[in-house]
Amino acid sequence: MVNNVLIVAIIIIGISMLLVVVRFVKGPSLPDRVTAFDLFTTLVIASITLFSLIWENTSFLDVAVVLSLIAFLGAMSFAYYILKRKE
Amino acid sequence: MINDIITTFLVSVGSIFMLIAAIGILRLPDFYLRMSAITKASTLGLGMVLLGVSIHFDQFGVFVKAFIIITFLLLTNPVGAHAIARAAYKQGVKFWGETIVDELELLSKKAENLEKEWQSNRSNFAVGEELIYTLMQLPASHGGSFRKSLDLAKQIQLVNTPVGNRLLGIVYSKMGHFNEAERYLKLASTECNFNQKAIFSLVDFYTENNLPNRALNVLEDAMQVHPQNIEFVFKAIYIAFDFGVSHKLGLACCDKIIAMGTDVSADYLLKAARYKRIFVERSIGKNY
Repeated sequence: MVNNVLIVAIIIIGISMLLVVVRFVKGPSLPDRVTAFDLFTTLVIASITLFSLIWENTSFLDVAVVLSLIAFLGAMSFAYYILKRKE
Repeated sequence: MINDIITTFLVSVGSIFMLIAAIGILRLPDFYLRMSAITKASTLGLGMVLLGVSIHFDQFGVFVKAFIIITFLLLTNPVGAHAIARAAYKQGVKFWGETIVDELELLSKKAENLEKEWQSNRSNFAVGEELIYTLMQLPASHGGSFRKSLDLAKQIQLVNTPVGNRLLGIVYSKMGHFNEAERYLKLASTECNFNQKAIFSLVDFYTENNLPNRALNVLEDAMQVHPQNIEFVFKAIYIAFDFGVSHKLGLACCDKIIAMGTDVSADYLLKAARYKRIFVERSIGKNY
C-alpha cells in the first residue's frame, strides 16, 4: 500500500515541479522567480525525503537538512539583492 | 500496520498540499497573493511529508532529523517570504488591479497632505498634532521618524506651551523615554489647568505603562478642579474596573454620579449603578 501511495505522491510532486517551472519561466518580475525557486527547493526537499523512504535509506535526510538551510540562505540573499539593486 | 496507514495519509495529504501550492503560484494573479499562497501551503505540505516519513522509519535518529528540518522550515519560511515581499514592495512590484487598500501608501499620502497643510498654516495645532501621530506610525523607509515628530512638537511648544508639552510627552512615551514623557505630560496638565485632553493623555500614558494608581491620583486631582466633568469620573471608574484596584474610589465615583441625580442623562446613571454593583460585589470578595 505504501509503495503505491509513494509513487502517486512522487508523481504529484513532479507535476507541481513542472507547474513551478512554468512560473519560473513566465515570471514577470525577479521576486516572482525567486519565490518560484524557493518553492522548487521545498519540492526537491520533499522528493528527497520520499526517495529516502523508497530506498529505505535514512542518510538522504541529511541532504534534506542541508538543502533546507541553503534554501533559506538563497531566499535571504536574493531578498537583499532585490532590495539593493538599481534599475 | 497502523504506522503504514498514518504514513500513507500524511504523505498523500502533504503532497496534495504541495500541489495546491504549485497551482497557486501558477494561477494567482499577483506576486503578493502567490507569496502568501505558497508559503503556507508548502510549509504544511513539507511538514506532513517529513512527519510521515519519520513515522515510517520509526527510529529516533530519523525523528530528530525530521524535527530539525520542520523547525528550520517553520522558522525560515515566514522570514524569507517576508524579506522577499518587503524587497518587492520597495522595488515597486505592481499590485493586482483589484487590491482595495494599501495602508502604507494611504498613510504616507496622508502625511504628505498634512505636511503641506501644516507648512501653509502653522497656527492650526490640530493639523500639527495629526501630522505628529501620522509620522510616528509611518515606518522609517517612508519618511516617518521620531526625530521629525519631536521637532514638530518643539515648534508647537514655542508658540503654545501646554499643547507642545503634551505632544512632546506623547512622542517621548512612544519612544519609550518614561521619565521625560511623564515630566512633559505633567507639565502640560498643570499648565493648562487640568484640561481634559492633557489629563487624558497623561492617564492613558500611565495605564499603558501599567500604573493604574498614579492614573487614579491624577484623575482625583482633576476631579477636584473640575467637579462637574463627568468624563473624568467615568475614566476613573473604567480604570478602577479594568485593573481591579481601588474599589473604594470606584464606589465613591459611582456614588458621585448617582448623587448628581437629574443633572446627568439616564444612560450615565444606569452605567454608574451597574458599575457600583460590580464594585460592591468585588469589595465583599466575590469574584466577578
